[in-house]
Amino acid sequence: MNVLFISIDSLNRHFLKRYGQPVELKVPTPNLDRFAERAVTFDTHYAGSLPCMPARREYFTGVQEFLWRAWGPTEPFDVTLPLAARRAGAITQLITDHFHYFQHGSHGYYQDYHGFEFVRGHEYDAWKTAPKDPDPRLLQQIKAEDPHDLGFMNRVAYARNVAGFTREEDFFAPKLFGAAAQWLEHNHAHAKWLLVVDSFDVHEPFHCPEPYASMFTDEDPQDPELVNWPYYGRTDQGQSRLSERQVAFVRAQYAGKLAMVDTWLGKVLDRLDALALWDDTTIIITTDHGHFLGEHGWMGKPRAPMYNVLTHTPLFIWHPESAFKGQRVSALTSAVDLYATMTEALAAEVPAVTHSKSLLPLVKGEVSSHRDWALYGYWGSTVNVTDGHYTLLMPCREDVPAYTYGTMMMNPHRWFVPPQAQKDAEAGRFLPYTDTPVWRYPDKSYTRHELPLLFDVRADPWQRENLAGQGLQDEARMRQLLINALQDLQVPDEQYDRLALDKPS
Amino acid sequence: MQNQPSADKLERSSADPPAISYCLSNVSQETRRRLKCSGRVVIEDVCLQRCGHCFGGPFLLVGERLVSGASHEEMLQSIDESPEVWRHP
Repeated sequence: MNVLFISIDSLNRHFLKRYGQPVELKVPTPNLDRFAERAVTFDTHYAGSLPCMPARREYFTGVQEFLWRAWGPTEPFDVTLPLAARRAGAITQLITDHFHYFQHGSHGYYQDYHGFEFVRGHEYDAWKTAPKDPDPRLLQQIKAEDPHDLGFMNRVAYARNVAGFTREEDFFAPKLFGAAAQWLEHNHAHAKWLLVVDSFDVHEPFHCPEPYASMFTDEDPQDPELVNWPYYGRTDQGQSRLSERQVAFVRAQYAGKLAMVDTWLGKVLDRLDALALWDDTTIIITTDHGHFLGEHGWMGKPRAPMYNVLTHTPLFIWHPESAFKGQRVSALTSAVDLYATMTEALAAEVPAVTHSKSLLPLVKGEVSSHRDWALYGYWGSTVNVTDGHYTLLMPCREDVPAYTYGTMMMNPHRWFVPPQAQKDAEAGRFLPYTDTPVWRYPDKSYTRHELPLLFDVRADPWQRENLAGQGLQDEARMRQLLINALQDLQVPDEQYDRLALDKPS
Repeated sequence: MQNQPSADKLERSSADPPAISYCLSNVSQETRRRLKCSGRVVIEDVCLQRCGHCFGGPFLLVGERLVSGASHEEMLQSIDESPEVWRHP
């Protein structure tokens, strides 16, 4: 069996027709729709470790890392998906414009493929250094304040990277999905293959060409007063403050970009049709997380409660032996499960202990339930649990440090600059899923809310009514579920202290 | 499914002192404590997407204006001494 895995970054579930599209912008996604008509649609799928690279550690190594570690590399004791696929006799290829794979401290995610193609230039990708003075209107729209500042992660990088873009085909999704379609054309004759297509779009900057830029707005898409790369945070204060007009424009550009992604995704689906690859290929389309676009008063992936906007994610799986072709599955599933799903489809051997559980028995109709809980969060912050009916968002104590466990010294909170030496580190066999010694070092905890938040997401999908603190039996049950999950995972003792939970004896 | 909630519409007056934002990684635990107890409108973020400045040394955002200096204390003192400058960037 071949595997095609497509991750569309920051793909908001609530913008998709297949999930009811309960937003004012009716984005046409005919290609996602036609895939969903053939595949299984998962209604209760959750992100795990956030944001980008932690999600990829889950996809590609099966480790739910946020309880032990922040954004960082693969570990020597991980068996990456491409490595497992190689051992199972598959030719492996990564096609991505996700520049984080190539930054400080996040190595190991592309090296095991037989081939990788990196579409250059998205967001802060350190690619072009000219023109010295890019388009001033675009600089204003992307909030690049000082184009000549030489520090890390200057937004001018994006304006320089796209300075020569004149046609739709110059942009990222067209290049990426075009390359994926071409790869299928040239490689489908291999006995077994794994193709990972990791699209940075729909991620910001929400800068896209016509006709998409004007598809959902009457504004001038190049009006320098209209931001297409807003800062993360509250829309009513600080640097992330935006007017209602600006929020509406951001949403329109996000929607336009999503329409563009869908158009070019269609090229890949066309190629699967033309080459008749459906009968021996498992195909997964998903995302790493959502993106706030004004919901609850937030923008981006900010220090907000981990609402479902960010964490309740779309997932579609095509498998030729599926029992639910074109149907929906309500069982609770988690991003970390995709690793075991893909390795099982490839008949690849994996480590005895991972946090991943294959979804194929569910897809084939062999079982009707999959997991009792899904955990999600950022390292060092709140820990959140769902049973698919309720979500319990647990605050953390800021006076109890969080600890990083890993073989590399990395910056737990400051991911995009050179790693700093961790002089307080100690070494030992601290991890329950490997006997490899690792470093252990502390950093600050930060909460996202002061008190627990409990939502009945079946009755209240936008999580408007906090049910915590009312003595409900469901709160006690969800609290116990969280403890059970932490116990199952054998998380470090300090996690119980951070979350003010009693550690089971 | 119900329609999404609208963005909160809390509007601040231009006469209000601007919020002071800082990055978690850019402050010591002691500075973090003092900023939180300073009586100002303070926003602590895990990352303000100002990585170059954060890597370079202490900085704060006053509203949207970036200020850098030898220490956070020195910057706060400068803000206190010239509030009108920071109120109208």
